[in-house]
Amino acid sequence: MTRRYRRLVDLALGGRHRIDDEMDQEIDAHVEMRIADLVRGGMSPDEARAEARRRFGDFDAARRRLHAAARQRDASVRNRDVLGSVVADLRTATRQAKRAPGFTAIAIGALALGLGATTAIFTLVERIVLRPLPFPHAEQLLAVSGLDSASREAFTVSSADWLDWRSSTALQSSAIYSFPYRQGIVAGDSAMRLTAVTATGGMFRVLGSHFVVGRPFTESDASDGTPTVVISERVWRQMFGADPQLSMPLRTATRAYRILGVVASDQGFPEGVDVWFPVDVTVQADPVRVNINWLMIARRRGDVSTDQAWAALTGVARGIRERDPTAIYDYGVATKSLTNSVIGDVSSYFRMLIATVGVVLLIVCANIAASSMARAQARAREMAVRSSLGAARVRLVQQMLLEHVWLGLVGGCLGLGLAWASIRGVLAVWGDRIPRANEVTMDGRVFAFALALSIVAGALSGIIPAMRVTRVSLSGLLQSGGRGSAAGGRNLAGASLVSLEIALALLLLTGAGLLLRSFRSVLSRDIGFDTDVATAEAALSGPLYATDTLRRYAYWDQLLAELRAIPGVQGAAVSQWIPLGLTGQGFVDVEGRDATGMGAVYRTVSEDFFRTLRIPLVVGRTFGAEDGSTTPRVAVINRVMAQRFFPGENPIGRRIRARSQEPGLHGQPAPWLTIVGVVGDIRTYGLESDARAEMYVDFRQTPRRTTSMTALVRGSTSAANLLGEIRQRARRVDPNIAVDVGTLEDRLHATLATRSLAMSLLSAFAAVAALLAALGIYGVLSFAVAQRTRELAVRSALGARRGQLLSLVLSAGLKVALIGLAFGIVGALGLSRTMKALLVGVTPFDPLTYTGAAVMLGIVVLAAILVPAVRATRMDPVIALQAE
Amino acid sequence: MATDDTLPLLKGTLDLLILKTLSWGPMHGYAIATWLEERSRGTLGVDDSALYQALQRMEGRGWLAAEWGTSDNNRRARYYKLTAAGRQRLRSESETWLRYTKSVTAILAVAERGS
Repeated sequence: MTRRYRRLVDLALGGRHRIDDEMDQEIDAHVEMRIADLVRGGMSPDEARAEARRRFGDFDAARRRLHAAARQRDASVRNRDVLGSVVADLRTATRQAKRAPGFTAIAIGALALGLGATTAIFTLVERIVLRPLPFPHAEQLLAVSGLDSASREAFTVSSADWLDWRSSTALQSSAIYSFPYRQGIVAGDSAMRLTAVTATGGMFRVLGSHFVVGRPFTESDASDGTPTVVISERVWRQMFGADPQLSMPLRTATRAYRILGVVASDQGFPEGVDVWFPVDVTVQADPVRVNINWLMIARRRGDVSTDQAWAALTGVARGIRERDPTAIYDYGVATKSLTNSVIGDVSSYFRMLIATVGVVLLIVCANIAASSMARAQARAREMAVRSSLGAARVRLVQQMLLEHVWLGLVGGCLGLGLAWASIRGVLAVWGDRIPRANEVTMDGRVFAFALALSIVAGALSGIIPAMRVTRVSLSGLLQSGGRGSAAGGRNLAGASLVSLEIALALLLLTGAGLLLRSFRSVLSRDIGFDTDVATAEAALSGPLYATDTLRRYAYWDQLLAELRAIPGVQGAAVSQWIPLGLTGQGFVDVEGRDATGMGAVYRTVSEDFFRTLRIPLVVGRTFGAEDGSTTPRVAVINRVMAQRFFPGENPIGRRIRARSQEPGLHGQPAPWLTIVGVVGDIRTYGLESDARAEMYVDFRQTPRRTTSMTALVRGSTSAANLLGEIRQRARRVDPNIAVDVGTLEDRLHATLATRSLAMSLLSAFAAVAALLAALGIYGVLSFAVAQRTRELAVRSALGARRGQLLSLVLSAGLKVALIGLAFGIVGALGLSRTMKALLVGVTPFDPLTYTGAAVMLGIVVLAAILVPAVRATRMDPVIALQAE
Repeated sequence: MATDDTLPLLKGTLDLLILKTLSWGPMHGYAIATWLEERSRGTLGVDDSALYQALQRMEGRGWLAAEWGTSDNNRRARYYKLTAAGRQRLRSESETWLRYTKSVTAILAVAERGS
């Protein structure tokens, strides 16, 4: 057996020479023997030498050929040796597995769980976080926005700033685009709504998107006035029958747009958009730098780093800031990789999850190592005998390792299935709330990862038992009759591994507990309005509505009348921006003061808005019949705004105005609005963020803002039951106007999706970890009891009471458990700090969570300890001693 | 000994002869060569270079295993012996060879009778 390994060593030390020498020796021996024979036959030594060489043909050439042949032989022998021993060991592994089906099933099951979870999370992280967006040289793509005086990122930009920034030489190209909005489309005689953005002509040049047919729009398409559009592959197939000629236009109620091209399915941006309209912001330039209504993407030059691009843009921005005091978003710029800006805060959750599954997998490995070591004590005799028969230790280690790698591979195969199923599950539940979810697939990289991880996990769980079990003292073991425990120190390593498992499980339970408490604390917050409300979003388009203000009011009045007529409806209103949706924001000035520099969310609503959403009136009044297009302009503000803008003052009767908010009034001062009431605060961006300053204006006083609004309806039953009725009644008002219906409750859930996904996954992993730790301590203790059968039987025969035997086993188990819990708490205290960003309403050191997690894990572990302990006391000493 | 009446070896025959030779026990290369010369009474021309080529190839295929040992007259030599795979190979190759020669002989006998 050692020969094989000597060969390997020889190879490392320049085996070629050794093999050539060996061949030479063999040839020389042959020649010498031949000469001896020939001389004995009567030839002279010289003649004999010549003859002996002649028999090789050309002697030197033959020698060279034989060197080559010998090397080839050596290589194939070596390959066969390694392969042969691996195959033999794998065969042994299968045999061993059959001999211990219980251990094998549990080990494979645990590995399948651990590997499956790790593979699933890896797939999600690789696809969503690590992989660049599917555009050529995606690393050059940047999301750019300005910084305010406090270096806060504005996220959006004004077209005026973009026009200045885009000239920076660090950028190859750039574009700005609107937030996605819903656009009504006429298809045949029915109306529908698609998600659209308006973008400057360079959008697709920046991205480098692949087009299925046609071409992207360009700056000249944007400026020449002919209505053109680019559509998604999905719309092209569903609405245009995949017509390669693009002969049909895309129609809205007012215009027909010539389709220039079709973007390939994953090449659109932002995700989920179906229609892109080109716009030229230089034609009717908006000179106001505070109107940050656009999002900006840019492609840096290939020879410029992101940092250099940032530096160049910062220079441009500061230059603007110096000459223009209104440039309040030019204190600097933020340049983020477009990939990161798309992923957003999901990546911090995924980082936590990948650490979590790593810990679960570690627990799995420790678990298998511990139980395999306990089991291997029984195999110590086999190892000792094999080693006495000449098996090298390295060979025994190889065998043990391969047994575990075998387990890893089988577990990995099952794990792939689990991963596939769980990714399906996650995408089914959370798919529409996770960015880039449509890009998630399992490919060759995932399989390679799973394979490599299976082997590593198998080897990791095998290395400690392999090293320990093969380090047996032969004489000691054979003398002791092979009753295990000869290696001394009663499975100390096994106990340490189980302690480690318990510590890691507690770590995860604590993390899950903290997230769970955060989630509950988020849910317990008051959102400030009733979310059991149905929404119906509609945009009035078409020649009828475009110019005729009265027509638009007529539509909304009719719609509201229809909605109020639905049986059981308790309130209906319309609003331009609804809570939990997009918002409009702007700077607000107070009459008689300098520019405040403070902003507010700006909402246009009908008079029943507050009643419908049950937003309480704090002081003054809300909008009513007394407000109309001809009466003085009024506003309602919320508490936050009242405190921020009028601290210690009465806001009622004060006059405010939003700076240049209304479209078409760029640069002109908006009219003053008199504050008539203060209402309660709402968390318009969801429970995770705080209430903002908000101002409300009456929609009858802002006719320009009435083209696109959302109706809100509160009924006596669940809002979801109203949706069908709302759709029908909206069609009755005008069949050409399509509405999107939904509920505020759904929108609320969407804002919590990431948190709930992370919490659910972490809780599931923590539960698995706790279970594994319990299994681990159960396995090790059961085995210890089985190993000490003789000792326990003797004690019992000598009169030890059951209680004494019970406490003997219990104390051994409890020691292991307590050490694990102690280390777990210390580890959790250290690690939970990294979770701080994800915690709400709970500190990373929340004592309740720590106690709860420790108690929960303690109970599970205690149950696992009790079973073997009780079994030890039930033993009949006579039978136990006879079995020996 | 390479006289005009030596027969050139048919392709593949040398492997079979070596396997057969080694079925008597481990031997070094020179012993195999002389054993073949003696048994064929000099009618088979085995080039020594070809013999060692064959030994390397067969060892590489796992039919033979080799080990250094000491010869009768105290000389270090590399001893070859059959492996289990080699024994298997010998059995199947001998069968094929015998069937083959039997068929060829039968045809030749018929042809001779006819002429």
